[in-house]
Amino acid sequence: MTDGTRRTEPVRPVQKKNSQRKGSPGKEQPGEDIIAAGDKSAGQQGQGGGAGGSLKPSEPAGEVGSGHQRSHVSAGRAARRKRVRENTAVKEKFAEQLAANQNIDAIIKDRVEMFYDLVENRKMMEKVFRVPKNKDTVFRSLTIGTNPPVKALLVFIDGITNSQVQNMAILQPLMLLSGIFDRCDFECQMFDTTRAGYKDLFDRVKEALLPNNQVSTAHNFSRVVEDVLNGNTALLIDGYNQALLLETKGWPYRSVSTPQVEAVIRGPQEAFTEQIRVNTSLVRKIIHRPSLLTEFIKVGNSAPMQCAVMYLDDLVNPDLVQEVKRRLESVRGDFLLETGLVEEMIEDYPQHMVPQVLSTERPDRVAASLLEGQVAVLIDGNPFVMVVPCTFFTLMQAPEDAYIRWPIGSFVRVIRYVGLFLALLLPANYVAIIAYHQEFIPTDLLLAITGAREKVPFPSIVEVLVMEFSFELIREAGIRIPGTVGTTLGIVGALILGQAAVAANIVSPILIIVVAVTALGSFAIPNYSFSLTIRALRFFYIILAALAGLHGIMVGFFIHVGVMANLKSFGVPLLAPVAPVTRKGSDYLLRGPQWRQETRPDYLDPLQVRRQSEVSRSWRRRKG
Amino acid sequence: MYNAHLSKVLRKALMVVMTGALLLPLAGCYDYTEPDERAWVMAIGVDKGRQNVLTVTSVVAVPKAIAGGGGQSGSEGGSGQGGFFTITFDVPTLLSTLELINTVVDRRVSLSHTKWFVFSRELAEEGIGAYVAPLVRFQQFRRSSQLLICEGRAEDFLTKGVPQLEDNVGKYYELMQQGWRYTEFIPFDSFHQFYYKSENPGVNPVAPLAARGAKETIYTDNSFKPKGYYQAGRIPRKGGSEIEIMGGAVFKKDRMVGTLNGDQVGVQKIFFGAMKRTLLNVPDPYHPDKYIIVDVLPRQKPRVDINITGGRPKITANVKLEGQILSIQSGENYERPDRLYIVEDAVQELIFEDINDTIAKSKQLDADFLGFGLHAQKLFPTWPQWSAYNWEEKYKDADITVNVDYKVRRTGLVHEMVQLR
Repeated sequence: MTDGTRRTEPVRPVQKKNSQRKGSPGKEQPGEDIIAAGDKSAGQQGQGGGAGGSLKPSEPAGEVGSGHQRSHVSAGRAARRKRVRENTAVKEKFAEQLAANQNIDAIIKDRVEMFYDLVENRKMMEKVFRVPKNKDTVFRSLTIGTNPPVKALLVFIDGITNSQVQNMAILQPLMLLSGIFDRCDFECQMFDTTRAGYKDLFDRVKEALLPNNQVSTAHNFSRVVEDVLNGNTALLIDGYNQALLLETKGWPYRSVSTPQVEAVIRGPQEAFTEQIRVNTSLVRKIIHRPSLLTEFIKVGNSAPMQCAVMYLDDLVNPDLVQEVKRRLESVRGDFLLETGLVEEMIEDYPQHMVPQVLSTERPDRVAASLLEGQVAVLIDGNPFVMVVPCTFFTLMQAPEDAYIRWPIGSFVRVIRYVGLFLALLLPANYVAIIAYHQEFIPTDLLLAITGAREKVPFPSIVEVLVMEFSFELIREAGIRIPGTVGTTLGIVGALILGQAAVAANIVSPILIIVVAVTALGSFAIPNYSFSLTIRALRFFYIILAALAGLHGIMVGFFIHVGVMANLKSFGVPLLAPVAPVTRKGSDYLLRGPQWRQETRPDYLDPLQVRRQSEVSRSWRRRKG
Repeated sequence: MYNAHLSKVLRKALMVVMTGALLLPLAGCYDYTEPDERAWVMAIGVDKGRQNVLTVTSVVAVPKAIAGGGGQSGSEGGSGQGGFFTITFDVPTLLSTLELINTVVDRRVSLSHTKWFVFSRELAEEGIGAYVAPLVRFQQFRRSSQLLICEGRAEDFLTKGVPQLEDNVGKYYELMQQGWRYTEFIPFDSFHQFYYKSENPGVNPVAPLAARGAKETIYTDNSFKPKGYYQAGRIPRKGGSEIEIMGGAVFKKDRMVGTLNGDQVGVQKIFFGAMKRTLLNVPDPYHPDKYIIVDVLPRQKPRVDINITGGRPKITANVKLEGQILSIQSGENYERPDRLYIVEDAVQELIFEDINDTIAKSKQLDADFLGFGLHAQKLFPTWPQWSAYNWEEKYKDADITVNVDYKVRRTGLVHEMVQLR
C-alpha cells in the first residue's frame, strides 16, 4: 500500500506540501526519520559501537527510486486517492506518539547494537516493549552466583514461555549452581575455568551454566526483541554488549489430530496442527533422510510469520527451490497468517480462479510430494501446508488413491472426474437441453420432464438458478452455523431442496435430482479450493447455456480449457503432463500399480529421475 | 505496480467478456423454448386428401397424461391409453401441417421426436417420393424414425391405434418397430435405410406393412398355414390393441408395387443379415401332420456370388444357418447324432422353399428387394459403369441358385425321450 505512495512522491511536486506536513511524523519519509532516530540513540549510547552509523536509509530510498521508474500516470492517480484517505487530523493530534513509535521502529529496523551497561539495555528494552504500560513483558533481574557475582536480567513474555524450563534450566543454574566451578578451583584442576578456555564470563555462562538445549547470542536489539516475541528468553548480563537467547518456547497449541478436510479410510490418520515445529517434525517423521531441508523465511510486515520451506536437497530441482524462496522473500505483505494469503502473494496468476498451489493438511501427502521433487511451504500457526508446483491432476488426486488397491484407485479417480464433469456442467447441460436441444433426450424422459414442469411458473433457467443459489446458501450456512443449532439446518435444507419446493410447484422434481447430483459431484472433488472454483464456474456455464445452448457451453469450455492450459504454477504448466505433452508416469489421470511408478514426474525436472529400479519386486525372478 | 497490473488485466478481461457478450448473440440462438411450451408430434399419417391434396394426421403426446403433472406424486401417470390426441388437417403439402396445427394446438409443434410416418397404401401405390424428399431435408425430422405403409386410411390407423401397455404412445411406436429384432415378420429398415435404398439402383426398399386388425373371418378352413403366411390386416386374432405390423410393402423407387407376407420378409432379412432368430414349424418327414419345431439363427452372413457372363447375371447364394430343436411332436428320437441329418434336411428344404418362393415373388414384382444388386455393383469399377449396366432390367433374367445349410447345434433339454403313453 505504501509502495504506491512512496513511489509517486518524486513524480508529483504538487503534492509536496501535503507530504511534508504529514512527512514529519508519518511514515512517508522513513529515511529522514530513521536518521534522526539513529542520531538520538547514538547520542545516548555514549560508548558508540557504531550503531547509529549502520543505519541503512538508502535501502527504502532505493526502492522508491525503482518504483518511481515503473510507475505511470494511472498508478499515480490511484496513489493520490489513497493519500487523501490518510487521516491527517489524527496524525497531528498524536504527533508525539507517532514520533515515539517511529523511534522504536527505528531501533529494530536499524539493528541498533546493544550497550555494555545493563541499565541502558534495560531502558532500551522497556522502551521497545512499552513497559510499564505493557504487562505481558517480564523483566526479571537476578544475580549470577559466580565469583564475583554479576547482575543480570531476564527478559521474556509471560504466557508464551515455559516457566518450568525457565525455573529449572535458567534460574536455578544461574542463581544456585553457578558457583560450583569456582569452588572446585582449589581442589581439582579439571574444572579450571581458564583451562576450559572460556573467554569471559559471558562465554562461561553460555557454555557451562545454562542447561538449555538451544542457546544463541545476539548483538542487537532487533534480534533480541524478535526472539523474545517468539517465546524465547533473553539473558542480559551486565558489562556485556550482547544477550543470550534461550529456548523457552511454550504456548498452548492443538495437539495432532485426525484430518478434518482430507479424511481417508485407509492411511495415516494424523493431520498438521497450528505449530510449525510440530508440522515440520510430522514430515520429518515420515522422511528419514539427511537431505530433507527446512529453511525459515519471515513473511509479512506488520506481524511477520514464520514460514518454512521444506524440500529434499538431493531430489528437487534447485531452480524450483530458488524460485520459491525468491518469491517468499520478496513478499511485502501486511499480515499473512493463512496459507491462502501467502498463496495469493506467491502464485503466478492470483486473478485466475484455479488454485495454482496445492494446500493439504496431510503430512503423508506432503512427504509423498517432497519425494517426487516438489517443495512444501509451511506457515506458522496454520494446519495447511502448501505444495508447489501443482498441476490440475494433483488437484484431482486424493492420497487414498495410492493406499487402496490400484485398480480401485483408478476407478475412484474416474468417478471423481465424472463428479468434476457433473459439478461443472450438469446444470448447464440441463438448461441447454431443456431449452434448446430437446431432441437430445429420449422421448420418455422428455415427456416426463415436460409433464413435471407443467405447473412450474418459471422458465427452466430461473428454476435452475433459484435451486443452485439456494443450495449454495445451504452449504454456506452449513459452514457458518453454530454447532448447537446445526441440526436445524438439515431440516430446513431438506425442506427447501426437497419435497416442499416441488409440492409448491416452484421447481420440477427432475431439477432436484440435477441439483443433488451436481452437489455430490462437487463434494467428490478432493481439493477444497478447486471445488469452490468449480462451484463458482458452473454459474457461468449455466448462463452460457441459457444464452446459447450447447454452443455456448462448448465456447465456454474451449475458453476455459484454453485459459487453464495457459496457466503455470511455479513454472510448471497447470495441465502438465498432458498439455504440453511430457513423459508420463502411470500416475496422473489414473493410478498405475505401485511397481510401475518408476520415475518422478518429468515436468518437475528433479535431480534424480528414477525413483525405483526397473525390477522393484525383486522377489520375483524376472521382470516386474 | 500490482494495482496497475491488476487493473490492466481487469480491463483486458472486461474487454474479452464484453466482446464475448457481443459475439454470442451473433451465433443466433434465440429459440429458447421450454419443453412445456412445445407440443411433441409422435407420428404423422398421410392419406389422399378429401378437401385438399393430402389429409395429414398428427399424433400429439399429452405429457401430463403420460408423466403426471408437477406437484403430485409422479406415479399417478396415465391410464395405459398412450396419452395422446390426434388432429387431422387437409393440406396441400405435408409440412403445411406444421404451421396449420398451431391454429388449434396452443404449444409450438415440433417434429424432432416423431417416431412414425404412416402412408396409406392408396397413396404409396401412387408414389410417395414427393412427400418423403422434403422430410429428408428438414432439420427437425430425424432419419431414425420409421416409415410405415398401412392398409386403409392412416388417419383411422393412428386414431384407433391406442396402446394397451404403454402410457407413452411414442414408446409404443418405438417398441412396435423394434419388433424386427425378435420376430422375422417386421422389416428392419429405418427411414434412413429406406431412403437410401430407394435412391440406389441395386436394391429396392421394403417398408413395414401395418393395418388395423381384421374384424371379420379371413380364412375359411383350418388347414395348416405357416405362421409367416399372414400379413398385416390378415392376421386371424381377437383382442389386443387395434393395430398390427406384419409383412412388408415392396417399393420400386418411390412407388409401392406389392406386399410381402411374414416369411418373405424373413427371407429378405436373412439376405441383409438382419434376421436374428425365428421359430420354424418343420413338417415331420416320417409323421405327416406332426411338426418338428426348431429355431433358426444365422450362422454366417449369407454369401452371394455373382457372375455376369454374356450380360446375364448368374447369382449363387449360400445361406448358412444353425439352431436347436425346440420340440419334436412325434417323439421320434431325431436328436441322436446319426439321425440329426433328418431334421437338418427337413429344415433346409423348408427354408429353401421359402427362399425360392421369395425370389419368385421378387421376380414377379420385378423388384430386387433381396439386395443382390448390392453384391453385383462390386463388380463394376465405377459408378457410371454400374448405372449404365441397368441392373433393374437385368435382374428379371438373372439365374439364381440358392444353397441352404442348416446345422442343429443343440437338441434341447431332453434326449431320446420315451414316448408319452
